[in-house]
Amino acid sequence: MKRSTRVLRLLMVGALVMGAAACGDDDEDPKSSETTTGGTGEAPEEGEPITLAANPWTGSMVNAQVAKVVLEAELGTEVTISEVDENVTWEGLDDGSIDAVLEVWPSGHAEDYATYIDDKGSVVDIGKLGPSAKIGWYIPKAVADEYPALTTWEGFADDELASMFKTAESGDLGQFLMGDPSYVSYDEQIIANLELPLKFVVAGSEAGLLTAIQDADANGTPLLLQFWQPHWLHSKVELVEVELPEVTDECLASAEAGDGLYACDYPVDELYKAASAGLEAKNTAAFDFLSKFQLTTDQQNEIAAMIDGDEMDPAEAAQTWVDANADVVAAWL
Amino acid sequence: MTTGIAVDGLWKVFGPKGERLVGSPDADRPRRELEADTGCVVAMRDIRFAVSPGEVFVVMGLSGSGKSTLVRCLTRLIEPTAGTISIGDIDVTAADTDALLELRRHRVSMVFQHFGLLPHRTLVDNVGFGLELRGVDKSERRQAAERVLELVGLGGMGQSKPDQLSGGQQQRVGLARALATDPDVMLFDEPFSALDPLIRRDMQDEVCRLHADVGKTMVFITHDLAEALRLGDRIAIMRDGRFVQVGTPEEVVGSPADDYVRNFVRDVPRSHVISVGAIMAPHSPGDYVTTVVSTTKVRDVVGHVASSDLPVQVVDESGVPVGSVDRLAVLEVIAGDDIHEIRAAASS
Amino acid sequence: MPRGLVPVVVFAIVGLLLAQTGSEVPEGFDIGLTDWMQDRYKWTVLNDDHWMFTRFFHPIGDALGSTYDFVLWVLRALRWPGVLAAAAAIGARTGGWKAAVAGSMLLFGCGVIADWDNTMITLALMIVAVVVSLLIGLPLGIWSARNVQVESILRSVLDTAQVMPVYVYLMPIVVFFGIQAPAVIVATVIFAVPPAVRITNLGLRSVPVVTEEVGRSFGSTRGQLLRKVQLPMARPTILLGLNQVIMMAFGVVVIAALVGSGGLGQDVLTGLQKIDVGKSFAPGLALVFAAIALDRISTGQRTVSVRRRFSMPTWWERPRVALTVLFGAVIGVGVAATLLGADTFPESFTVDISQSVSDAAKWVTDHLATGVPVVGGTKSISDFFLLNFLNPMQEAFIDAAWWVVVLVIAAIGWASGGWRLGVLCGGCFVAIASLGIAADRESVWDKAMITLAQVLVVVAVSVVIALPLGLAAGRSDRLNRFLRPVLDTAQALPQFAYIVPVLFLFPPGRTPGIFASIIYAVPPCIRLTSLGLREVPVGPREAATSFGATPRQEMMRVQIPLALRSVMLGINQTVLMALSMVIIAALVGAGGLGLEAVFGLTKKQVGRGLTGGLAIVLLAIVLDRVTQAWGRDRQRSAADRHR
Repeated sequence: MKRSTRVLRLLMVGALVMGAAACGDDDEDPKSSETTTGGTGEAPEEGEPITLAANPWTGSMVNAQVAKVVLEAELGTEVTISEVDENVTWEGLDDGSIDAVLEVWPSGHAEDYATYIDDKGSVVDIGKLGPSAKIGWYIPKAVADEYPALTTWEGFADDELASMFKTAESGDLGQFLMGDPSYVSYDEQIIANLELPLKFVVAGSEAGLLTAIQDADANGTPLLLQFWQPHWLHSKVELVEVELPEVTDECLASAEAGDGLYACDYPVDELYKAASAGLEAKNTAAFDFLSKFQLTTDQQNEIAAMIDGDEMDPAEAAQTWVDANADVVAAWL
Repeated sequence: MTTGIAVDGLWKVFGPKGERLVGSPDADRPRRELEADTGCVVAMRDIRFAVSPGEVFVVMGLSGSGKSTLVRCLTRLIEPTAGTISIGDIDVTAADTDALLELRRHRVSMVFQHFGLLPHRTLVDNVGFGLELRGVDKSERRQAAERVLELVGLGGMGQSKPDQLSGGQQQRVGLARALATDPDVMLFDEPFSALDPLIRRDMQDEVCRLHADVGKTMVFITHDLAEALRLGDRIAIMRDGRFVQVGTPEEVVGSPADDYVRNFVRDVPRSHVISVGAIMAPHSPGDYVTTVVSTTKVRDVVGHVASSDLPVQVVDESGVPVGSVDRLAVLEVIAGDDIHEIRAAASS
Repeated sequence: MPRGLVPVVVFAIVGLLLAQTGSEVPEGFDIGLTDWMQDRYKWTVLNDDHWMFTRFFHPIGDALGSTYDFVLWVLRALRWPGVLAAAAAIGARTGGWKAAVAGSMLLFGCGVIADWDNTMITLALMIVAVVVSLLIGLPLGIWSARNVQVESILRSVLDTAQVMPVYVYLMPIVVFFGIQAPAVIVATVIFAVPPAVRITNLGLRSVPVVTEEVGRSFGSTRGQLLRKVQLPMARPTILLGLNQVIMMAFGVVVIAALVGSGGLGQDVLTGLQKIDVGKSFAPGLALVFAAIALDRISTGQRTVSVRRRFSMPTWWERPRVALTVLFGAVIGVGVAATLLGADTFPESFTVDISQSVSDAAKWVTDHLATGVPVVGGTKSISDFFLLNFLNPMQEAFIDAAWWVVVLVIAAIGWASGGWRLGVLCGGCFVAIASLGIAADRESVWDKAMITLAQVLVVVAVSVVIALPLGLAAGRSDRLNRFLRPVLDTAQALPQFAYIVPVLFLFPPGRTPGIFASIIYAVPPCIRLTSLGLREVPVGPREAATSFGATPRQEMMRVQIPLALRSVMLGINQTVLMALSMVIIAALVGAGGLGLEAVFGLTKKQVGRGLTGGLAIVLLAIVLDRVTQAWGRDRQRSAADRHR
């Protein structure tokens, strides 16, 4: 058989499939194609299947898995969990391919809030999740124990103490390590305005930050970094938060104005949930449930520890927790 | 049916705005100089010739003489810059795309120097290529292809791929492919130059045989004088894009038009080419050792004049005596350039 | 005035003019691209009910999504034995039993070391992306083979598409086509189309003139010529292109997980986020297997000898029958598997390699990172290297007045490939200068200098490592055989898989980025150097030997000069690889332009990402053209010398 025709034929089949798919799609509800997997044919009176976003950290996965367990068992709503970047999540909420995300960190998404919730109205705020989040400066516990002065920012004003944190990347100054540069950071301003002998160094990613912490922990070397609560690593490595000047109104105002004069601690963030504007009409029961859904920091950490500490499958961990906490679940319904 | 070819005032100039050089005195400037000044190369200048139906017309020249360009212009694989070509009743130069396709598909086919077989196709599909382009259905063109393969001595090998064949066999396939479309005119572009001398001879015989069998009009390009003399009814000698001489093998060898051609034909065994008719003395009554027709080659009478002092009588096709050839005349042909010395020696 | 003085005078004049601007890039130079792009992006987000989206982009996205759903449905419906049977069947058709065995065994391996269903998700995405890439790439390749102008325009577009980091355009794609499969497929296609176009073009252009003449002389129309002569003749080259398309496509898989593709890419990413080497390595390796499997069964690599030696039954040669039989067999296996309940890949077959990989990584970390006698371990090497080499170099680049850098680059370009290249190089750097100030108040220029310094270091170290290895591999078959799979794997592993291991060895910063880039950039240089040596024709070598050259002389005087072009091509590839790792380097703390591009996704600063991406492209153009010119120049002068 001639190869040329085979290649052509393959291409034609490809084109045909594409074409057929495109045509077929016109007749359908365009949204249905985007709920990817699923589709094993639940009884019709049960709720429309929905998609929950799980962003790339354990807490986010915990929320989604727990909600999935309850939604499927109690409301008969089939749930697909889509693991997706947090920024992309908003675009998914916007076009309805994602129905809800259960943990949004406000500090990083003020602009998204304004764009999608306030201006466009394609996404709705469905209340607080429960835990508060707090960004701050951290050092390993061993270092804090040895140099108690370093548990407040004034300790770092001391040249000698600060120079313990020197690395090749920071030169003569002590190193202040920041992870993923896309996260909120006032650290450069804080360092400058408090006149600390530190150099702001970016690790590039959370992974970089985490290896640095583990390395410091293992070797007992000094390390000063931006980190936050809640995070799964706290269950594995003991870190001590460095006290920064208290949050004041001027401080918050300078953050808003972006005048570079920020010189205090990070404010506490209340994590919230967001849903696609179409969810309420599509599956009211699920919408109501997700609006009521809440986890405390301790509850979330408990499940996260099962996953990160005991290497349990997230779905399994969520099921175990739901089985053991029927009263908490009942409150959501 | 057979078809003739007529070519008139054909020019090909490669390069930008080549048409302005056509017929201009600039075209005669040395090649390098012209190329440096204008970026143009004149590949063919003012070529004119006619090939009669069933004739084998050979164009001979060294590489760069423009002969390959010429054969490609005949079916406008290369667009001529100026001039007219007609094949049979078709005005090739004026033909539109469809007419040109029609011409290439039905009237003319070509055999290429490096065979140009399609390596991804079997022999049958290679040979049936022209028919396929024509839209002939599969089983019919397979039959035709098998038949032609048989004709060139490759019967039963139809399912092989070209890379399984020797060079000579590959060119047989090239020949078969050209024959398969049953064209009126066949063009050969140095088809045998890549083959070993023995195989080349074989293939030349093949062409002679085919010509005898099918009687196509043929235009044959070669750089090999022996091949040209063997195959050609008429030969055109090409140099620097020009025909320097057009004539029968005999004319070319017997009376070269200039030193260039003379140099070329110097080593040709003239007695094999020249016929007695070309060297005979006027007829006079007398004794003859034997009688031959005027188209007999000189070498065929060598035995007669060697064994006897009497000359050979020459007659025309109808048997009417037209002249005679004596020993000296025969020796003149064989000795070539040194003819004057022979005469001097003979008279002393 | 002597001719040689002209460029000097031009340089002096341009230099004087530029010097008026001071040593920093002047503010007036900022063309405001960042803000303009960001505004366009904003508009798009707010106006996605515009007909352009509802009538055009969204339907395309939906079509891609449902095609993917369909392919995945087929793969899942076949069950795992059916998929293996299908791989074997397709492989058998295209490349005989070898391809059949390789294809199905590699896929089986995916199931063994990673999750089968995730493999299918990735496979479905890749199949759709590769088919779409070919549907776009082949016609474009054909078009550019027929039209020189199209070719030159496409060339710059394709260069850009290939060098522009995916991070830059992922966010806009999500807005245009929707998250998950559609965005993944479009991003993959953008990345994978260039080789398809380029190699189709190359294949068609390398069809011998005589075969084209044959086609025309027998009265082919343009279409017939293409279908019956050019495409079949170009087929081997185009298949090589298919291989490139597949490899490129798999390169996007991990990033694709960011937009919710799921599959093996997600597994790699999850391992990464938990800094678990083992957990990210196993799916990473499965990705390599899947890529090679897809490559083997689609490109076939059938050789004549294989066909002759193993005569297939006669029905095999009749395509319709053979296809029907194979199709039936695949369906049969699928149905049988379903009836027998082989719904999921049996757990007893799976092997968890993540733990042993983690252990190995831990061992390496423990023994190499610190405490090695004398040198002190990778961490102190890293410190030494930073303080003594990279820092001074980077500072020199940043401290130098910007116009000095522009002039030097232009001069290098001029010296390498004439005044056109000089103008191009200088122009590209001026264009980088015009990209303005990044959001963190540093200029894009300074970031470009940081990246340039790192890339140059990577290239220098890579060449130093690769050349001797390449030369050795060119002469020793055993070394060559040993290196090949190592190099293949090093290159086929997703770039992301390098992040965690290098972070174990080096503290976050520029060194791990440079180290990862070197691992990635060395293979093509080794491969092409070795290939170059091997392809030196026997003739000149025999001649040298016959004149009494020692093996060493023969190597230095004949082989290396004749292999230079290939070696230069290797260096060129190394430069491009190093640039393609800029993003990964940024993720482990290298900063520079890579980080700017990352912001396009992670901070939704699309304008900023694009600016950074564009600067990377401009750097790439300069480095690519200059190294290409070296290859050409050397060869010409070598040829001249021979004459």
